[in-house]
Amino acid sequence: MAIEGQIALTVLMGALLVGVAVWLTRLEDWRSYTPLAGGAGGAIGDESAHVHEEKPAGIIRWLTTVDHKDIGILYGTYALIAFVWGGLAAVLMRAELATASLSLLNNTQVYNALLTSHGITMLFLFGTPILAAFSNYFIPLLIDADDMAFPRINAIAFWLLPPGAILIWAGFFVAPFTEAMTTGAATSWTMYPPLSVEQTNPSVDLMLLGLHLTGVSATMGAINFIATIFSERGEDVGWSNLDIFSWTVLTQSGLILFAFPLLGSAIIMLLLDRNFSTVFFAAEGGGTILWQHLFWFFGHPEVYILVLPPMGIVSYVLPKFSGRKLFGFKFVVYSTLAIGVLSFGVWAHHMFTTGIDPRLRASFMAVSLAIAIPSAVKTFNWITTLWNGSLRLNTPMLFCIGFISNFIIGGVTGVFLAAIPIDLVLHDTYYVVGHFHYVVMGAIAFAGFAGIYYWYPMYTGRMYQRTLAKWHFWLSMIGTNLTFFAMIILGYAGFTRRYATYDGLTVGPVEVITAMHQAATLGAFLLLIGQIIWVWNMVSSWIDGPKVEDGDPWNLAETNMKSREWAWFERKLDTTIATDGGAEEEPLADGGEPTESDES
Amino acid sequence: MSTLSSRAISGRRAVLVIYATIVALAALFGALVGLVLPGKENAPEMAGFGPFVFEITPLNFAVYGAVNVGLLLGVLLLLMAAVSKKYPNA
Repeated sequence: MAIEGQIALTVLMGALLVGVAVWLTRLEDWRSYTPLAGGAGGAIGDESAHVHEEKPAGIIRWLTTVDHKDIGILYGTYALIAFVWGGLAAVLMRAELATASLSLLNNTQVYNALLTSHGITMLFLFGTPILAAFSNYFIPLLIDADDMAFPRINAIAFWLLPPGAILIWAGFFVAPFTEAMTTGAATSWTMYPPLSVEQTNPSVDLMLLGLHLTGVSATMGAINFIATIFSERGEDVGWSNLDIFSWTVLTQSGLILFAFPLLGSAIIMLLLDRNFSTVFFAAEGGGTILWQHLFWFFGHPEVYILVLPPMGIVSYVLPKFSGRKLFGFKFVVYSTLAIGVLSFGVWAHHMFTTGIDPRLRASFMAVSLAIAIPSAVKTFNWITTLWNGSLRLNTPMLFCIGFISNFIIGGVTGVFLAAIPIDLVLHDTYYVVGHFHYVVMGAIAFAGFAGIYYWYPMYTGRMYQRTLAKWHFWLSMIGTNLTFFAMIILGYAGFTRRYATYDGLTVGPVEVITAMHQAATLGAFLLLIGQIIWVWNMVSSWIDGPKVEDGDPWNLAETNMKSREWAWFERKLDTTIATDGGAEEEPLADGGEPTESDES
Repeated sequence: MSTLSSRAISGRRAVLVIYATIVALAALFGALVGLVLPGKENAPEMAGFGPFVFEITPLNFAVYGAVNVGLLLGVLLLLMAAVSKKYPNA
C-alpha cells in the first residue's frame, strides 16, 4: 500500500515537473532574445535580424537571462544570501562559546551542524559564487568580449547553485518535521570517514548531493571562463596586456578543472559507502586515509581557487588608488601561475598527524614552505606599489590595505604550520582556525568588499554612502583581528577546535581561555554589526543613492589609470535610453559568428 | 556626485604605519603567549632562540616577538625600498 502511494506521488510529481516545463516553454519566445538569436537554424541571415532589443521585464528577465552581467548580479545576490546564512551560523557558534557550558543551543549536535554548515556554506556557496559574480560581470568587459563563450552554459552553471544550497541546508529545514533527521549534517566540512559514513542522519546524503551540484556548477563555470579568456578576447587584448584579474581567474579556472571533478568522484564514493555498503573508505577497503588524500587533493587547491581571484582584485584595484601602475606586473602573473602549479603539491600538510610516511611528510613540508615564496612575491609587489604611490584612502582602497595586512598575518601563521614539528603541536587547535580565518575572512572577504565597493557605481549606476562604508571597513577590520587573534592565542593555549563547550577544563590556563573565547565572541559581534551596516548600505544605496553621471567616478583618468570597463561604462551612460536599465548600445545578438553554443 | 577622490597621502607613510602596527601586534601576541604558556602542563621555565635565553614572562615574550617580527619584516621592508629605488618604473 505504502509503496503504491509512493509511486502515485512520484508520478504526480513527474507530471507537475512536465507541466512546469511546458509552461516555461510557452511563456516567451526564448530564441528571440538569446545572444545568438537566429543562429540556431544555422542559416546565416535567416532570422538574425529578428532580435529583441530589450530584455523581458520583471522576474522573467532574471529567470531567463543569459547576459553575463545579469548572471553576475545573480551570482552576487546568491552569494550574499549564503554569506548571511553562513555568517549567522558563525554568530550562533560564537555566542554559544561565550560561556563555558551549553547555554544557547539545544545540544552539541546542533553546534556541530552549524559548524559544518558554516564551513561548507562559506567555501562553496559564498566564496566560489562571489568570485564568479565578479568574473561573470567584469571579465567580458575587461577583455572586450561580447559575452561569455557559452552564455547558456553560464546560466545553467548558476541555476545549479540554488538547488545545491537547498540540499546542503536541507537538514535544518526538514529536521523539525521528521523523526529520521536529527538536524543538519554534522560531519564538519572535511567529511572525514568513518564519522561521515556512519552518521545515519539522511541530511548528510542531501548535503553530499548538494555539494555535487555546486561542484558541477563550478566546473562548468571554469570551462566557460577558460574558453572565454582564450577565444573571446577583443582584437587589441593580447596575452601581454591581459589584465591581472583575468589572469588570476584563468589560473583559478584551471585549478577548478583539476580539483572539483575529483571532489565529485570522492563524494560519489562516500555516498556509495553510506548507502550501498561499498568499502571505499572503510578499513577493509581503501581505508579512511584514502578519503583524506582525495579530499585534500581537492581541498588544498580549493584554498587557492578561493584566494587567487581576490588577489587579482587587489592587484587590480590597489594601483587605481595608488596613482601608479602595479609594480612588477609580470612577476605578479608568474607568481599566480606558480601558486597554481604548487597548490597541487601541498595537500598532505593537512595530514601530518595521521601517521603517513615521514619521508612523504618532509617532501610536503618542503613544497608547503615553497608556496610561501610566490605569495610573498605578490605581497612584496603590492607593498612596493603602495611605497611609491600617492594613496587615496577611499573604501575600496582601505579594504585592499586591510587585505594586505591581514594576509601577512594569515600567511606568516601559515608558514609556521607548514613546519612538521610545529604542526604536530598546533594541529587541530584554534591556531589553525585563526590562521585560515585571517586568510578567508581577513583577506578573501576583504578583497571581495574592495571589488564590491570599487565597481558599485558601475553595476548599480549609483554611489554608496561613504560614511557607512568606512564604518563597515573599521568594524570589519577590528572585528576580524579581535576574533582571529584571540583564536591564535587559544591555539597556543592548546585549546582544541570544534568543541561546543569547555566547562570541564582542568588543564591549561582556564581563565585565559575563557577570556579569549569571550574576546573572539565580541569580535564576531563587531563583524556582525559591520556586515549589517554593509547590507543596509548596499541595498538602500541601490534604491535611492545618488545617481552616477560621470563615467569615471573614481577620477582614474587623472592618474592615467582608467581602464576598459570604465570606458564601457562611460559609453553606456552616454547612450542609455530609458528602458529598464538593462539596455546598452552593444548589440546583444551577433548572428553572423558561429560559436560552440550554437550547437548546444 | 561626479568625483570621489579624497585627500591623497604618501604611500611611504602608509606602509610604515602598517609595519609599525604589525610589529605592535607581534608584541601584543608575544605578551599573550607569555601569559598563556606558563599555565600549561610541563611548560619549560626558559625559552629563547640561539644564544638568547630568557624567562617566560609576558614582557620578555613581548620584546622577543616585536624584535623578531620587526627584524624579519624590517629586512624585507629595506629590501623592498631598495628594489623600488632601483626600478622606479617597473
